[in-house]
Amino acid sequence: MTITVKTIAPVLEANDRIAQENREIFRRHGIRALNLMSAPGAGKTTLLERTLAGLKDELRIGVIEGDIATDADARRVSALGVPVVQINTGGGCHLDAGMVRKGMDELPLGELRLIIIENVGNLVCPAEFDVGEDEKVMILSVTEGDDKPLKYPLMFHEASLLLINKIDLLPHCPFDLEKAKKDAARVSPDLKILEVSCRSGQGLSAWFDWVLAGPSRSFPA
Amino acid sequence: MHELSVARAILDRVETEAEAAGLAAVRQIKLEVGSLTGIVPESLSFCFEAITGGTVAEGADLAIEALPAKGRCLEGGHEFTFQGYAFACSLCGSARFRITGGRELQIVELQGDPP
Repeated sequence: MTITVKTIAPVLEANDRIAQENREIFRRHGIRALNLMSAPGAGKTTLLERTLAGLKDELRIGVIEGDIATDADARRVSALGVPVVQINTGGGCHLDAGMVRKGMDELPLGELRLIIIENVGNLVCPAEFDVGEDEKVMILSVTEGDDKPLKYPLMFHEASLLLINKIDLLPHCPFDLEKAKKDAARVSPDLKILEVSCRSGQGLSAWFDWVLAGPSRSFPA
Repeated sequence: MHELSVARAILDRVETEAEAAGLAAVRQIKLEVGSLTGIVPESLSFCFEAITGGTVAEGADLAIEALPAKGRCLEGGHEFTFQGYAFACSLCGSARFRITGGRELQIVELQGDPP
């Protein structure tokens, strides 16, 4: 005899529940949380360094650093004197809500106004996991190629802001800036796009303004 | 890309559900997987088989049904399905839409043996 059991058992329900709790905790503390996502090497940590150096006197910022195995990024960030927590995913390709919660537990939430969560470098999986952030910020660097918006549309569709980084390298790369922007707008019409170079500093003031102003694209929930 | 951790989450859920339903052994698990989850069925089945030895789900068949990506257009309200990466309303072509389906990952049925 075989027994058949009908059910609806969401496998990742736990993640979504914890993400919602994280969101509540952020809200209760008046913290805006940004989930920073990109491919490896696009400049997430360098953007963080520039942002902390540029804004830490104006805004109390905390950082949750996701990395597969090392604490190299956390050391770079903590050198700037802001609270930083390292989360090693142990091989995992993305941060999930539970990992972010562990990081939150170690940060002085009562003193912070902004938390930047640096996700694991990957253009696929991080877009699929809600960690409780207010907004997703994505970096695309010109060395990666202008075909990425159409190849990884989910991440572009989910992001509120796209930073096109390393624009100082445009003369050296076969990167069609207008095509990249047009394709990004095609998968996400309300996506705000800023062109920056974290190395030269070009365009970073517009990014700082965005962080300080806290505007957001808001789709109806 | 993260099929192994998904397989572990499925096994956790199957063990809970099987215990609640009083199943001594699970033979088949019907799973709905949305196309936006990025999960590769073959890879998931491989991982699942690899971790279920000695558990209530040892040897169980993982029957995966793929669910399409769905959206509701924010311009005209049209509801549509889209194939993987064509991110636009099928009626007006706008990409200003809310994703309403395709992110599912859920167990919908278990078949198994009584004690």
